[in-house]
Amino acid sequence: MTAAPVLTPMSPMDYFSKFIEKELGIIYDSTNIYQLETRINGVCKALGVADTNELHQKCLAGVPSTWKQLILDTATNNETSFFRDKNVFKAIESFVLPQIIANRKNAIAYRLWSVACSTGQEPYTLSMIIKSFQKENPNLKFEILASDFSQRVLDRSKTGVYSQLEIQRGLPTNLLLKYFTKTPDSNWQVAEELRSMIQWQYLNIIEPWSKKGPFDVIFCRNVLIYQNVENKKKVIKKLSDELQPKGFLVLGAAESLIGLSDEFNQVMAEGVVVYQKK
Amino acid sequence: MRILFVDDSKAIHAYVKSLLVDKNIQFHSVYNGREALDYLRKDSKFDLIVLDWEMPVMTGPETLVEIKKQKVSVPVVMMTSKNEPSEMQQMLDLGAVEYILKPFTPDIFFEKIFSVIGEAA
Repeated sequence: MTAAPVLTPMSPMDYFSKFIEKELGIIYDSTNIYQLETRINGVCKALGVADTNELHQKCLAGVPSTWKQLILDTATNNETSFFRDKNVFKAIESFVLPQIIANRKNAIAYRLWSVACSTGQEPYTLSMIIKSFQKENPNLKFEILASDFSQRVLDRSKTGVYSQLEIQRGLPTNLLLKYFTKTPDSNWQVAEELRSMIQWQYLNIIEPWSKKGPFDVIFCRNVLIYQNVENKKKVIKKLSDELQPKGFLVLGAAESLIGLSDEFNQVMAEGVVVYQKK
Repeated sequence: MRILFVDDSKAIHAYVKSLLVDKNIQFHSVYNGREALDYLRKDSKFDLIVLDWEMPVMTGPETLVEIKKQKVSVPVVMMTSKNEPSEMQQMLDLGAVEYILKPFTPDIFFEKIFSVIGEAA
């Protein structure tokens, strides 16, 4: 078995892990540094650089912006699927949407934000739920903002094209047939009626951003787990400031606001915890 | 939990059976629709039928029609490489509740079957 690489001062992995933490707030330590090494080796191949030592030396002279994007893109695994954690979306449809409508009757539009949308399955899932909700409530309008720090995944998400394996993960077949068309190369594309509901935007949540809200619901799932406590608190405060009063923040199943914010009440719906702004 | 698996490929049977090792799921193999119907006449206490499309003797669609005619209440999931939307819709219209496209991965297989029958005990 190969020993895990050791973080030593000025080692390539030390450099890249600090670079990624500075840019994205994502922490690599001795428990997961091997993942970073694999990913940086992939960057070396893509750039035609001999190895991580050479890449390190070249970066010390200044990281070109295209290299920076490639290195940062590799830092996350982009793992997502349609209806990931099904009960969350049951809670959205049965509890959160009726609540936000009751909070702001006669609103021109209700706004949702998928903060780290990755390859787009989360905002497209929201669009399907909204379409279903609108059957009984045809006069209600919704807008979805989907953001990510990776332009590569944003560009991919905008196309709405997914492979046959991707559309089988989490997506019931009846919804596949209702909202997707099969492309000539046996991929599947999201229907225009769903794609047109979503605005896509580049955004790095640990960098300053101009106000986007207010939103009725913000989804920030499985993102903050990679951040240190200070960044978690900062990001949650910024997201809270983007929410309508009584708006909702939805985190990942293994995440919690305990110790990070006192601006929210914890609410249970469909066996899932969601956070409502006080 | 009992699954009736209907496919003419022994390799697929072996593969799916290997996925079910250590799961609390009994796996019963038949190799075409006629065998499936004969089995169900004697024993229809299954939680799920997984049904291929292209089989000798009796195809998947023919089998599904008969299953519904005979009012067998076991849910049916198609498992096939036929991926035209019209074909998939046809199977849902005939009464299949879900559809697994070949090739598939273990996570997809389990997600689809558990979406129909719930988690195995």
